[in-house]
Amino acid sequence: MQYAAATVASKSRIALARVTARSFVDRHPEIPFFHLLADEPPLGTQLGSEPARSLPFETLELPREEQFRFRYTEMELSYAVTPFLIARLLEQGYDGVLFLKQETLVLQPLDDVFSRLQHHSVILTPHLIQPPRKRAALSRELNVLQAGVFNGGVVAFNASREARRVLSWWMEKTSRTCRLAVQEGLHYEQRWLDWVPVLAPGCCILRDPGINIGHWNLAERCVRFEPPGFTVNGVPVRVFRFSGYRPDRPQSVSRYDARRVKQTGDAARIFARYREMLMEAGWSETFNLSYGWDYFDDGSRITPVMRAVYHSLGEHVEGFGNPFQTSGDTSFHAWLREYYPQEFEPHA
Amino acid sequence: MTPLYAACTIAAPNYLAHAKVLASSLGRFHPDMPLFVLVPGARGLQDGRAFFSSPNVRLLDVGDLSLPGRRRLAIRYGTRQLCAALKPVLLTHLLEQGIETVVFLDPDMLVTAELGPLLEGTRRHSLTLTPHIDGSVHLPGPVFERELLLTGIYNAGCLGVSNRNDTVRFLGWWGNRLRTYCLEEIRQGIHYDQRWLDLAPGFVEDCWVLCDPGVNAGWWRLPFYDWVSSGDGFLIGGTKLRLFHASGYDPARPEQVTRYHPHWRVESLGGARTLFETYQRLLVEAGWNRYSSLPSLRPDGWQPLFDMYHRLLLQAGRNGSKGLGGVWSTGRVVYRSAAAWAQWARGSFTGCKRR
Repeated sequence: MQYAAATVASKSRIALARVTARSFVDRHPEIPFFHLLADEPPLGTQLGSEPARSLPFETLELPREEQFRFRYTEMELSYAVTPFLIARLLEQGYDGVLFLKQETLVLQPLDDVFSRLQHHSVILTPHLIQPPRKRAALSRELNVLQAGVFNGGVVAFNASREARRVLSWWMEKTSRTCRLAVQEGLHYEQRWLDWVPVLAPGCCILRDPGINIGHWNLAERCVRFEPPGFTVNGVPVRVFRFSGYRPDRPQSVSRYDARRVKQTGDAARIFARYREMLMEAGWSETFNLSYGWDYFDDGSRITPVMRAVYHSLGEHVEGFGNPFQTSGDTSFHAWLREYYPQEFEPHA
Repeated sequence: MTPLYAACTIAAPNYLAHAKVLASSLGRFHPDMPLFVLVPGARGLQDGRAFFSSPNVRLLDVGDLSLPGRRRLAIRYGTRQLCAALKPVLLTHLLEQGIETVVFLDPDMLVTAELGPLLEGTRRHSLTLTPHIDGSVHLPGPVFERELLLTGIYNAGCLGVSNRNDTVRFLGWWGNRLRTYCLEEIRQGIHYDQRWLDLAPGFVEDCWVLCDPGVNAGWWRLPFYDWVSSGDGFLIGGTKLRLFHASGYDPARPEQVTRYHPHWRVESLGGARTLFETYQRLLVEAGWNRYSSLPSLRPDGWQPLFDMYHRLLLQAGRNGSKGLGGVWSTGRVVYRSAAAWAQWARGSFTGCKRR
C-alpha cells in the first residue's frame, strides 16, 4: 500500500509546514509528505519546505482558479483546498492520504492509522472523546458544536468509491462556503465533517487520546513525560496540535484559549520543543512574508469587503473574467471602483 | 420480572391519544415488548391504564424517576421542553431497573412493521442513532444540509441504548445538560435535546449510525424517496417502512404535512398521503379530540419569561458560573441586581395570570 501525507500553508506559515513535515518524516521516512503552497510562488528566492515535497498551487488544477483565490482570504483559502489536495494525491495513485493541518507535531509513528485505511474509507478524530468534566465544560462543548464535532486537523481518506464520493461533496462545499458564520451552520471546511458519519458508513471515528491533543481537550488529556517519551491518559502522545499558538507569545496556549502554557503540566515541554523547532525552521524570517493574492495586478490591496462582495455576487461574477485584473472596463476592479470607491481609499 | 428489552415514550396529557396509537401499533408487531409511557403532570390519570387498550403499556409518573428538583424543572420548561428534558432521565431509569436494551420512541410515531434493524442495532451497540437522511444513498442537498447542521444531524425522536458504562455516562451528561439548557438557541449550538446528540459519536465508543430509510421516517425523508403503500404496509424507496414519525403533524390541520414546512400539503404527497390520512384516522379513533383539549402543563404565557431565564443561565454557564451570579443582562436590558430582575419577573407573572 502506498500512502501519502500532506499539509497546506501559505508563505507566512511555511515554518509551520516545515515542522509538521519534519516531525512526520522522522517517524515515517517511507511515506512522502507533501506541502501545498496556497500562495503565489516567491519571486527569485527559493522558499523550500523541506523535508516536505513542495507542490505549487496549480497542482490542484482548480476549475476557475482565479475566482477561487479571489473569493477567499489567506486562511480561508488554506482551509478550502484541503479536500482538493487529498483528492489530487489520490488521483496520483496513492491508496490513502493523511492530512495534517499546518500547526501539528507528530511525536510517534502512526502505522495503525494508515492500516485502518485498508478497511475504512475516512478516518475522523472528534474534538472531544468524552463529556468534558472540568474547565469550561459547557463552553467547550458549545464551541465544538459550533465549530464542528470532528477536527479538520487530522483526517484521512482512502481511495475507495465511498471516500471519493465524500471528498467530491466536501470539495463542492468548500469551493463556495468555506467561511465562518456559526449562526448559519458554517465553520470553514471543518463543520461539514459533521455529516461524514452519515455520508460514509465505512468511516472510522478514531477515539485515541494520543491523537489530536489540542487546547480544546487538554483538560481531559493528562500529558506526562515518561522517558523516553510522552504519554497521555496512559497511551503514547502521537499527534499534538498547536492551533492558535504563536512562538512569539510562548506563554499562551492559543489565541482561542486563555490558559497559560505553564498550567498544562508536562505538556509545557512539548510546547517548548515545538517552539524550538519552529525557530529552527525559520519562523522569525518567514512569518512576516506577505500573502501574494492579497493584491490586484496593479499592486492595490484587496480588502475583505471586496472579497465578500465578490462572493455575494454568486454566478454573476462570470462576466468579469480574472478578478485580479485591473485593466479593461468590464473587470471586477472597474466595477468596484464604480460601486465601492471607498474601498480604494487608503485607510488612516 | 424485569424484561430484557423495552420501548419507552414520553407523552404530555395532550399527547395521550398519540401514545395510545403508538402503543397499539407497537403491540401489533411486538406483543411481548413492554412500552413504558411517562406521562408528566398526570396526577389526574391514576386510572390511565383504562385509556390504553394494549396490555403491553406500563404507565410511569415523573415521581417514579429519581429527579431532584423536578418541580422546578416542570415550572421552568414548557410541555415540549419538559418532555425532551426527561428523555435521558427516563432512559437511565429503565436501564437502572435492569432492562438490557431500551429504545426511545417519540409519541407521534406509528409502527408499521417489525422494528428488526432498530432492535438489532440497539442490542449490539452502546448507542444507536437515526440520522434524518441516509447520506450513503442520498446527499442531503442544499436545503437540508444547512438546516440539519443547525438543528442536529440525528433525530432525537428515536434512539436505542444498551446497558453499558459509556452509554450510562452519556445519558448522565445529556440529562444534566437538558436540565438547564433544553432550549432553542441555534446560534449557540443548541436545539432542544437534539443538537447535543451530534457530540455522541465522539462521546460514546460504540455509537451506531442506523441508516435505514424505513426507520424513523418523517417529513425529512419525503423529498428523497417514493412512498408507496404495499399490502397492509408501506414501502419507502423500496424498503419496508417500519417506523413512521409524524413530526410536526397536527391532526387539527390535516392538510399540512408538518409545521416545520407550512407550505407542504398532504394532498400533494402521492403515496405517503394515505399514510398521513390513516394516521389521522387512528388518532381520532384513539380519542384525540378529547385529549388534545387537556390543558398543557403550565400556562403558555409564562414561556417567554422562562426562555429569557434560560438564556441568562446559558450566558452564565458559558462564563463558567453555575448560578446567575453577576449576569443580569439580556443584551437589550441590563438589570442592576438579581432583585431588580426578580421584580421585573414578578410583574410579568401577574401579567400572565391576569390574561
